[in-house]
Amino acid sequence: MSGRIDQLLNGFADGDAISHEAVILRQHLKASGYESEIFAPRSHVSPSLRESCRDISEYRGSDGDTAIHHYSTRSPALDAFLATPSRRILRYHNITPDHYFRGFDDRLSEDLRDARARLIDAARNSDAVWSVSAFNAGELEQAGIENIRVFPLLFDPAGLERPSLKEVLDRFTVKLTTFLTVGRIVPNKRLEILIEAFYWYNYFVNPYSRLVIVGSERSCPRYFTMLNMMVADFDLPNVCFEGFASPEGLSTYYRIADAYVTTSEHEGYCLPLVEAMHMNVPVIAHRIGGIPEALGDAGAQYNGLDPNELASLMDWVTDDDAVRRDLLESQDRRMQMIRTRAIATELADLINW
Amino acid sequence: MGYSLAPAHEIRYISSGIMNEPDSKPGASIRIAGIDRTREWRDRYRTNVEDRRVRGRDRILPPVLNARSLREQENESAYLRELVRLIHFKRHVGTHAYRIPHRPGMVGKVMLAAREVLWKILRYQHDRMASRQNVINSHVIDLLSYEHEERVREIEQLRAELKAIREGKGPAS
Repeated sequence: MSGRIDQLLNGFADGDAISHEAVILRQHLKASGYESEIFAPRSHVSPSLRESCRDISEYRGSDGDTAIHHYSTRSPALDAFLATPSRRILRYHNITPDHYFRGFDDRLSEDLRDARARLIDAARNSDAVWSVSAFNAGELEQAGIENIRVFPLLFDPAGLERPSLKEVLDRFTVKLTTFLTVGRIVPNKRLEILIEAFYWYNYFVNPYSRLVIVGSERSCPRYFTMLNMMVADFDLPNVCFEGFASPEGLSTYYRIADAYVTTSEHEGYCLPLVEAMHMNVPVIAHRIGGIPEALGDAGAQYNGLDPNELASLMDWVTDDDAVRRDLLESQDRRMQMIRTRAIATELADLINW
Repeated sequence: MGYSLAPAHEIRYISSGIMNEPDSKPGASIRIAGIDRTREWRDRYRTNVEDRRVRGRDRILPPVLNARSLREQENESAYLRELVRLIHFKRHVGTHAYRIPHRPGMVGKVMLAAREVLWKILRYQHDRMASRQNVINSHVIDLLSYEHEERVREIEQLRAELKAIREGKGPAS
């Protein structure tokens, strides 16, 4: 195969799931014989990644080439995508419904509403749509979009294989039952439910426990304020907001965790679940959106539990060896499927479709 | 959003801390490794869950004081008003109800007794520090409130002037 397949992103940053996937996809495209580069607005590129991509203003698509746009809120990348004479492929990772941000960040809420409104036009003006999950594809199908293919989010474990970070290990020297969640601190993650579940667990099941929340709090500071206030209300001593983590830091958090928990209410796929499974951490997840597709039959998946009941599930998973063994075996099976994906074949099929 | 105490039909939800959401919904389910084990989980944990619901009730703040009310706000202005309102209830550092965790068994009980004695001895100093901190907290929160009120007053005045200009009456004096 030959030709150009470029990727157009709204931003290119360390620790960002979309950027992470764009890098993996570029590797696979190059391995398949294509020329491939990543383009993003320079103002939205992490300094450490400036050499790994080009500014979106330099993008020159031509007839016969292909452009993949990772869709998000409106940006110069979307404008360049819609204007290119190249074949257009829209990569849909999901847009969080705007109501989650209302009151916390009104401007972002408007941007998200705008992004959802523009999504249908962008999809209609694309030659194909690659969705990260069937859940996402369903959202588009409901709006009448037909040319959708499901191409699950790509995962590269290399970042997680790095050695543990001493600075992180030093902070967690006392052996406590550790629950971990990873992701930006934003309202759709429903971390208030997790904090309350941890209150029931810590106060009534096991005081020798901690909740570690890893992820940037800068995405929605007012929501972070609410969570901090809740922690104080419950007088919870062991809730650790760790902020953004480097790949080394992230792998360390997974290594110290006894269980990974997500109470998120809206996810297009949820890559941290795959990371947790890769790191052999039992997963407890709210069975919504694209999460069942990321997990398959693996892990503990729940619906309709209040925080007190979720605390008992956290107890069950960390305390019952047989349950833990079943979980880890199911996660091994799931990871085997993810690791052995024939990505080159999938890509060839998608590109030639 | 009003701040009166929750109506009777919501009271049972307060005990779980979830406002306006039922406790476990009828469709509650748990799948472990792809197998539905909801019934086993219920049989094993139902008593614990109910027991905790009673014992932990007092620590769950009613909606009028609960930080989760910040989630219910329609826009950032309403959020700020609610935050300023809530923070007045949360200004004090209390030292009377600290829980001292302890391990089970005789060693745990001895350690607990020792820590309780230590806590009582140190209480004199703790309370002085907490008292000073509370005074500072009060000053900061009062300052924030006055500042907030001043901004609200300014905005109202500017709106009135804008309205007068639009109606051709010139700036309000």
